[in-house]
Parts: sequence; structure tokens; C-alpha cells
Amino acid sequence: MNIAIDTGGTFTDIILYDMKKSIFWTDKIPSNPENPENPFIDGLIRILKLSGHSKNEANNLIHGTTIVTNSIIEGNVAKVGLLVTEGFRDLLEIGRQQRPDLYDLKKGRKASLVRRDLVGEIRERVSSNKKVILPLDKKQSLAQIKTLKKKNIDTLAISLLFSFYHPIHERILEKLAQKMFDKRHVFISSRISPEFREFERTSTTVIAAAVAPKVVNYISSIRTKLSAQVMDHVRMRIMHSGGGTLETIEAEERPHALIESGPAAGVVGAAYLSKKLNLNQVLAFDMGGTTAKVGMVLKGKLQYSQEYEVGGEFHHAGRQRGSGYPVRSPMIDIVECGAGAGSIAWIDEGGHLKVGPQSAGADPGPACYGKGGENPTVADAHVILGRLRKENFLGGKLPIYPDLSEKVIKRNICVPFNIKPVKAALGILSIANTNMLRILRLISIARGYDPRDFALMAYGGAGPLHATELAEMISINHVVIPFMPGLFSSFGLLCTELSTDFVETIMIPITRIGSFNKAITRLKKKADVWFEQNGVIIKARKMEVRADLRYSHQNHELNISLPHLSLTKNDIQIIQKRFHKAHTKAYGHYAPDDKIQIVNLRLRAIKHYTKPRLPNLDAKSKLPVAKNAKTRLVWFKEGRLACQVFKRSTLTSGFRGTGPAVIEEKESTTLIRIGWDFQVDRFGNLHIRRHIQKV
Amino acid sequence: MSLKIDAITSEVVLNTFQSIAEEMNVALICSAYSTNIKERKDCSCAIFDPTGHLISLAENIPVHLGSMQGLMNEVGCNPVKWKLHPGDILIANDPYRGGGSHLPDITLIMPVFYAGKIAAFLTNIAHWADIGGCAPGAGTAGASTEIYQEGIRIPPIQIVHNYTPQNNVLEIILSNIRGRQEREGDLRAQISSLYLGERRLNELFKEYQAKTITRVTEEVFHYSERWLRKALRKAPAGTYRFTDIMDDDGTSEEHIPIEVSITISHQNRPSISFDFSGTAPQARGGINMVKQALLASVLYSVRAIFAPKIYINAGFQRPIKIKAPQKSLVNASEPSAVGGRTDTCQRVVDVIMGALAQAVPDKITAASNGATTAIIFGGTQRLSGSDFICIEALGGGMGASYSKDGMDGVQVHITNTSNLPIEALEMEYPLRVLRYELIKDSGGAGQFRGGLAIRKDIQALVPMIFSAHADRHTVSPWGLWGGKGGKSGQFLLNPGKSQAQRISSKVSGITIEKDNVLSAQTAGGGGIGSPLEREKEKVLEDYLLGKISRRHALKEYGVVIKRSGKINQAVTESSRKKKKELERDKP
Repeated sequence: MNIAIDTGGTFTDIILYDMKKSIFWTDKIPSNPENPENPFIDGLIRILKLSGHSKNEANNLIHGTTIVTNSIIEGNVAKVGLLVTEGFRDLLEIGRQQRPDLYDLKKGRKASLVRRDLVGEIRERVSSNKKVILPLDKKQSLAQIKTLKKKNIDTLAISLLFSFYHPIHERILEKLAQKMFDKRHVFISSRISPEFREFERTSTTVIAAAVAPKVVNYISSIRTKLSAQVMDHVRMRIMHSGGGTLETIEAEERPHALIESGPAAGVVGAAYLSKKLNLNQVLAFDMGGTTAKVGMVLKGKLQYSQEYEVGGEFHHAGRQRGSGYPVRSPMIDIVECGAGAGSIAWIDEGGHLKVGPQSAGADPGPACYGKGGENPTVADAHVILGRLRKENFLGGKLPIYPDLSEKVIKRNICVPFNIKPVKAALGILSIANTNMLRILRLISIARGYDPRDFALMAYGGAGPLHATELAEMISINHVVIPFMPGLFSSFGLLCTELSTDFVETIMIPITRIGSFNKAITRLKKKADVWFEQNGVIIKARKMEVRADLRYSHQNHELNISLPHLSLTKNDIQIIQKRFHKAHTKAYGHYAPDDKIQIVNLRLRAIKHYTKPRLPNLDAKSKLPVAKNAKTRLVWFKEGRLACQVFKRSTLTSGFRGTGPAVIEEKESTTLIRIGWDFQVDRFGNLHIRRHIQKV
Repeated sequence: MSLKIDAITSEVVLNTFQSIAEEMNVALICSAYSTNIKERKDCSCAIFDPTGHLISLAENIPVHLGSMQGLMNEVGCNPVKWKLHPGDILIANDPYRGGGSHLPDITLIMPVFYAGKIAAFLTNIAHWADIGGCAPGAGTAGASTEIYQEGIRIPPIQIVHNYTPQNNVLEIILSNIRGRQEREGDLRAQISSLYLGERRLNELFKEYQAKTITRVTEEVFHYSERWLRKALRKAPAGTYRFTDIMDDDGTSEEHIPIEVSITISHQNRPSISFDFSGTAPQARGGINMVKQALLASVLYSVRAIFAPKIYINAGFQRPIKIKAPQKSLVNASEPSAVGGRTDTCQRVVDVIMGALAQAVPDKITAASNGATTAIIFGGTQRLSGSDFICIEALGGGMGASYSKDGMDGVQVHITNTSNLPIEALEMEYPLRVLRYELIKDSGGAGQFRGGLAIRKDIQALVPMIFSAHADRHTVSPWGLWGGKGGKSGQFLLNPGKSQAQRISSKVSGITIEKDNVLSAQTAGGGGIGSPLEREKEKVLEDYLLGKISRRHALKEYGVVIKRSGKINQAVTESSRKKKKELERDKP
């Protein structure tokens, strides 16, 4: 039996999947940011009771957590010491020497995660051609480590220049340090991120060191709680940002890989579902309380980026570069913006209506929650337009006060603009939508794809409410609302593999097959060690190799998959072709005569798990359709239209309907615009298609 | 329909315009060849309406707007002359005939047609690592005395006709510059970025009618105009003056004054005007600004001081008036050299900050490092025998503001280029970085401290040529209201050695022998308020973090720090008291 627990900012979602019967049990309980392990255990016990299973049966647990991201955002991190090459103590202080905002004179950079007096300089130097120019001074090193130890640091990060070529110096320091520190508290950059570009490598290593104690404590407090429930047998895996999962022991070693593990899960779910539905190109769109996120799925495959900024601030479309801490680790490519159900509508200095990126969050939340929210939000706009109803909001668990929505929208928007509430509400939504369109475009067009060729898979509490409107604006004709959209990230957790990533910077021309293959072999060896450690039998071992390639004059790389683990001349030609093609796709041109260089080689080691079977609607639901046929008036930009209202749980496989319509379920509401039809597939997914082509 | 409702529609369309400019920028950065564009993002993109008014800007470098607007003005005032058709792209860089602000900034412009008429113009700009001239990177070096020495001048000319590159033009350009392969790649990236923008604009025009777009852009202009006028109304009306001095122009040691008189008026509609009368005549050395560069510097300052979050467009420019004497340092004429104009741009911003300190003290900063400190190494790779040019622009200290210390080691004001990773630099060029750090005690003391300067020591592994332009090597950045100035910068050859040698701030093509080390040190930012008012704990913290020395703490702040790392409270009190009395007694 598999249990997925996804801890989000507002709610902790739990799904129990009974493999024998192919049944899903779901639950949603409020999160507890102070002690996330409490709802974790409560939720686990509750779902077992709910489904009538015994504690013994819970053997496989997959967890998505925000603990790493939150601790960095809140500055709740360890006291980190850092060792760098002599002459470079300010690598983190200076960073890329940029300010996060061009014009805001008062907007400073985030304070470095390492105090400047906790940076030690090591006498050593390796050159760009891998030669030791200055051998490591052991005595001086020891003195530096001792100095830091005296300053009571919790953890130590070590990052020397060119250590990705020559890790020996870092290893020596690691050994010296491990004599004075807990082994789990020493991190060297050549293990954490053995890639070139010193600032990002150092930043990643420091983040690992900064969050490590927190992660170790969290995992052990979960273990203690499981133990108290006599559930020591539970095998827990934690979702990493690259779309796979790690055993807890590896999560402790690579804590920086846990950033954004929740959103990554949603995209994994979307990838699995799009394979099942034979959808070639899917935009996976997740809209929650404070942010909207979008990932791209091509032919059922996830797309990756290699760098991310944690703790960064949002502006209207995406994150503000330079406002967070760079982390380099293979991540599912997700673009996000500050648009969610709780995003606040406000009027700027010039008199334009803006929405977000500030959010009312969960507390006080939108005005309609009645918890003292004084600002109109996206959710309030939906309430005004009759799209969200109190009977239906979170299964009726939370009361909704439409009069409060109206009050704040009138006061903050209607009065200054001299417009009616409905117009204001429509305005709020269309602006929130254009903000989200920017990220839908950024991820597709900027990567060389045409969004019109995609299906939009929308989930998260608010995704299904916005999906058809967004699709219409970006000329997408097919929207998919998966079954259980409100818990889709947890479903994604159930679809994950056990996987880890290995990387090596090699910097050679692509034509050097010998060196190329040797490097792959080195990574394969590392992967085999990992497989052994995780008890994966040889048959179940799967490896994927990719390379970061560029024209030798460039300084940005494209990540290209390699056809085999051992390459022939012919394979090289295939790879070259793939690169030219990808370059054209991404940037509109390629240079057939230019030399191609391999920067990094990446190998992902994977162990597959049996995926959940999607529910089959034919077998169970036999409710007569007639019962659904209620109507309700809902506002659209075209005016007030009578919508058919359906309860999603009663819709049978093959059921068809026509917009305008509203489909309500426990965790979410789907809005279907006029001009769109919908149909329920045999798994219970909603397919919404446009039937009138726009002129 | 009321104007207010248009405020919602126009926000939606504005968002789309902004998104298009951003996408063009992303595409340009990703596909360019040279590190200068890719790693340092020394490029920008913009969209103009058919009459040449700026609609939307995705900028990495504020000063870039000047050149894009400049070329737009050249082309926009006579579109017939250019016989523009769909798929045509013009290229230019000339400050005197092509709207540019210095030669290495290559600007491209493309008309976008809808229903047979020009519906918009797209532009992008990228700083090329070389543009020919008397030495590698001469276009940026600032040591020339005539623009002819700075590289090839390109007046507006068709580089693409009907989506086909014009190879004859391309060949002339590429034959005049170093590293042609890389430049060709950059140009291709610039062209592709325009094509992407054209595609997206066409979608937008199809979705909204041309009429709606015109109405929306007009509303968007009003919107930014309203915003700025509102902000100006909050500032006290009056005339504010300030003068600052640049080190020299590289040809002599004579100081060069920049003077401004700024008038904020509340009459009719609030407006702000800048008069640079009193500024030095155009210089012999290459630090001159043409009017486009001045425009960009003023627009940056107004935005940063009065409305950092505003959308910059033609409407934003309406309340702003600029007057600068002809043939002056800030409004130079042909054939003045302009390669090092960014140092002057930075100083213009400082001067504006200094003047407006009297009007809006809480919105400005004290003087920042006041230069762009571009250092350029060029030569031949030992192994491959191919030419290389490596350009680095170093940040420095930012001036303190009314309630905050200035940022340490950062790019300020009109530039925001990132550094090149040390590992990337060493893999690509025969150079080795020995030191890259903040300079202790370089931030101007004050209740709020100026930011620390940067030091970068680079060793030449083969003999090579060095060029540079910088400033604030002799005249240090000023503080305000009792705040001290930041430490000046310097270039040192072989620092710490007996044959250490100071190199002036503006040089072109001096030889650096193998294994010699060039230490580039920028200036720190100025402080604000009396250092004696700075909280003792903050002084101690700066000391503990190694940002100031014990001596500096005592001398500037009157804070006595014991060897144990604690403040000697009693002695500090009396030392600060004594210093305050001394200060009071000063005339």
C-alpha cells in the first residue's frame, strides 16, 4: 500500500492508494508550519482509519515537503562556516555583483547565508587546466578549521576553485573537518555540485549546509513519531526537485535537492497522466493560494533546468532574478508567478489595477474567509461573480461570506474607479490571468514551442477555475482537469521513481569519443555504488545520460539526451543533430559549422516503482445524470449566463456537457466557458474542448 | 467607456507588451555567442509605437534606452527615407548619425507591419566585445581623442532585407572588428530576437484591433505620466544645484566639472527640468556623452528617485525637460570620442542625486563608486594562436541612503552587468584571478555607511595589451550631512611588490608582460550622516565582519574596540563626545 503525504503552506494532503483494489482514499488537513510532522502523523493515522487499513499495511510512504524552502525564506537556518580558496572570501558577498532591482535604491541583496567572519581562506590553488599550482597547506587549513570551530559554527561548507576538476584538496579538508564535526555537517562542493561556475557551486553547497540540521531533525522527529505509533516498518522516501525521490538517508546528505519538492510532484503526476492519455505536449498548470506554477511535459517526459533561486521574490511574471540564493541541482523546469486565489488586487501609483504578487495567504486569507482579510483577492472576485459558493468551498468545511467580498471590492476598487463590483471582479481576474499567461508563454515560447500545440492540464485549488479562460487567451483548444485536481501533487508523489543525479564537468569537444565514453563510465560506476547502497537489483537499474552542450564560443548550455551509455561515432552524429535541432527550437537558429563542446555530463540513476492504476469510472458510478441538472447564474465577460451545475462525483464515464457550466467537487471548482464542451473520460478526467474556433 | 475602465484593459495589453519585450530579451541572452552578452547580460530590448514613442522596455542596463530611442528617432523622423518593408532590419551604432551612445553598443531596429502599415518598431541592443579601432576593446576604453580611433562607425543601414541578411554590409562590418566569428553569432542572436518579437506582436495585433492598441498605448502613456507627475507634486518645488568633478579625461590631469540645476515646478502640471549649463566643454579624451546618453542617465535618475516601480515609456518622459550646452561634456559633437562615456553617465547620476538631496533627502543616495571601471585584456592565445578580448566591468560601493547602508561590491545606477565567473574567465582566457574581494575601510563613514569597493587582481599568463576606463581615482565619492566620502579607486601593476606601479584610470593599449599582475580597485560609496551618530553595535559588527579595521572604527566613528572584540564603552563615550565637540567647534 502506498501513502503520499504532501505538506503545503496551507494544507497537508494525504492520499492512500490501495494497490490490490486500485482505490484512492484522500484527505486534506490544515498544515502546521511550526511542527509539520504533527499533521503528517495525524493525517497518516486518519487516512488509515478512513480506509479501514491497519498500521501494519502502511509500508511505503512518499513525502513532499516545503521544509527546506521555508527554512530559507524564514532565515531559520544553521550557522554555517565556509572555506574557500585564498583571495576569494567574498564569493558569496559579491555574488554576481548585481543588484536585484535596477531602480529601487533601497532594495538590498539578501544577506549572505554565511557571515563574513565565518569564511576561512585556504592556501591552495588549482588551475583551469587541472594542475595544482599551489599545493594545499595542511597546517594552515587545520588552523582555519579550528578557528571556525571556535566560533561555534553548526555546519561547514567547503568550496575551492576548480574543485570540479580536482576534488582532492576539498577531500583533504573534508577529512580534516570530519575529525572536528559531525560527518553529516560537512559539505564539499565537489560532492554537492561538481560543476563549473564557482559562485553557484558555492551557493549550492552553503544551502546544503544551512538546511542540513533542520532536515536531519525533521526526519528524525518523523521517525520518532512513527515509532511511537509502532510504525517503524514504514519505508519513507522524500520527493526531490528533480522529480524523483530519495531515501531519507540520502535526503540528509543532499538536503538542497529537496527544494520545491511539492510543485515538482504535480508535474510528475501530469507527466504520468499525459502518457496514459496519449497527450504529446502538455502544459502542467498548478494554481494555489499564493502562486501559480507551470511546467512543460513533452511526450510524457519531464523537462529540466539546472539552476534555481530559492527564497527569491516574485514580481508580476516570474521571480526577480538576484533576489534569492542560487541552487544548482537538476530541477523540473517550473516557472512561477505571484498569482493565486489569495493574490491581492490593488491600485498602483499611476492608477492601474494590479493583482499580486502580495497575497492574503491563509491567514487572514481572502476577505470572504471572514478572518479579518481587508483586501480584495482573486477568490473574492470569483465569489462576486457567483463562481465560488459557500456550500462548495473546500467541501463546505470553510464558511464563505460573499458580503465581505463585496464590501472590500467596493471600497478598494469600485469607488476609486467608479465601476460596478462585477466589472471590478472581471477586471481582477483578467489581470491575474495575463500575469499567468506570461509564465505560460515564458515556458513554452521562450523555449521554442508554440503554446497552441499544447493541452493545458490544470490543477491545484484554483487551477480549474481559471483554466478555460487562460486556454482561450493563449489559443489552446484542449483543457484537461485531472481527477482529484485539488490533491494532484499528492497523486504525483505516487507516480515517482527512486532516483538520483550524478554530474561531471568535462569541457571537451564532442568529437572526443574516448574521453566522452570514459566520463560516462566514471558516472556509471558512481551510479552502481548508489544502486548497491539502495539495494536495487541489477535488473531494476535504469540509467539515463544527458549532456549540457554548447557551441564552443557560448556560455549557456542546452541539455541534450544521449542515445546510449556507450557512444559510437554514429551516436555522436545523432547527438550533434539533436543539439542543432534543440538550438534552433530554443533560439531560432543554429550554426552547422561551429564546434560543439560538452560542458557537463549528467547521469540519472533510476529505480522504477509500480505506478498507481487510474480509477475506472465504468465500474462504479451509475448515478443518473438527471440529478445534476441544476442551473445557476454566473458572471462572465459576456454577461450573466445560466450555467449548468454538476457535482463531479456523480459524473459518469463518457458524460458530455456544454459550457457555460460549473463542475463542483470537494477540493476544487471547474469553470467551463461558453464555446467549450466537456466530456468525462473513463478515468474520471474532464476533457474540455473548444467547439467554436475564434475568428 | 470611461478612462478608468480602460485602465484595466490597458493593464492587460501593457502586460502583453512587457511580456513580448522580456521574451525577446531572454532569447537574445540565451543564443548570443559572446560572454559579454550571455554571462553579463549586456543587452536590452524595446518596443516603440509607429511614431517612435517607447511602449515597453526589457532592460538589463538603464543606459541602453538612450541608444534605442536614439536610433528610433533617426529612423522614425523619416521612415520614407529608409524604404522599410516587412522583414527589413536596420543596424547602427554611431553616436552622431545613428542615435548610439558609444560604438560597441550595436542597435538593431525592425518595423512590424500590420494591415500593410507600420504598426510598431522593435529594437534591441547588445554590447559587442569589440568594434574595431586602435586597440582591442578600444570602443569601450575611453582613451581615444577622436571617435575614429574607437572603431567602425555604422550609420543606420539595412543589415537584413526581406528576412535575408545583407552579406555585403555584414562583410564590411565584420572585416573591421576583432573576433568576427563571435560577433557574427551575436548579430544572428540579435536578429532572431527581433523575429520572435515580430511573431508575437502579430499575434497581439490580430487579437486586438489596431485602433484598440493605439488607444491602449495612449492610455499607458497617460498612466506613466500621471504617476510621475503625482510623485513630483509630493516633492517641494524649487531649484536645486550641485557640482561634482571628474578625475580627468585621460589626456591631461585636469579635473572636469559637471554642473546641474534642477527645477521642480508645481505650476500647471508638475514637471522637472534639468539644466547642465556650467558643465565643462567636451573633453579631448573619450569620456564625452552624446545627448542620447544624457537622456538615459536623466531618465534613470528620475525613475530611481521618484518612482522606482513606474513603467518607463514615452509618457514617463513627458514631465521631464533637459537642457545641455552644445559641445559640452554631456552633449558632445562630432568627432568627440565617447568610448568611456559610462563613467560620465554614472557621474551625471551622482550629480543629480546631490542636487535633489536638498529636495527629497529620503529618496537619494550619497555618491556611489561613480564609474563603470571597464578593464579590457586583449592578445593572442598561446596555444591556438587565435585572438582574444576579455572585458570586465567591476562594481564598487554604493552610496548610503537616508536610512540604509550602501550595498557592498555591486553595480550601481546606469549599469547592472554581472561579473564573469572566475572559472569561466580562466578557462577562456590566458588570465588568472588571484584575488577578488571587498576592500576594507573603503566605504565612506557615516551614520549610514557607504558600500565597500571591489578589488580584483588578475595575472597575465601571456604578454598582452591592457586598456581601461574608470574614474574616482583622484576625486573620491562624496558623503552627505556629515557622512564621509568613500575611498578612491586605483589600478596597480604588480601590487605589493617593489616595482608596483600606478596606472591611470583611462588607458589604451599598454603592454602587460607575462606573469605581471593588474590590480583593479574601485571606489567605495559615500556615507550619510555623522559617523558619530552611527550605532556603536553597527560599528562593532562591521569590525567583526572585517569590513572596517579597529583603527578605522576609532578614527572615523570614535568607537574603541578592544582586542577581545568588545566595545570599550567608557572610552568610546568620551572619545565620541570629544569628537562631537570638535566637530561643533568647526566653522
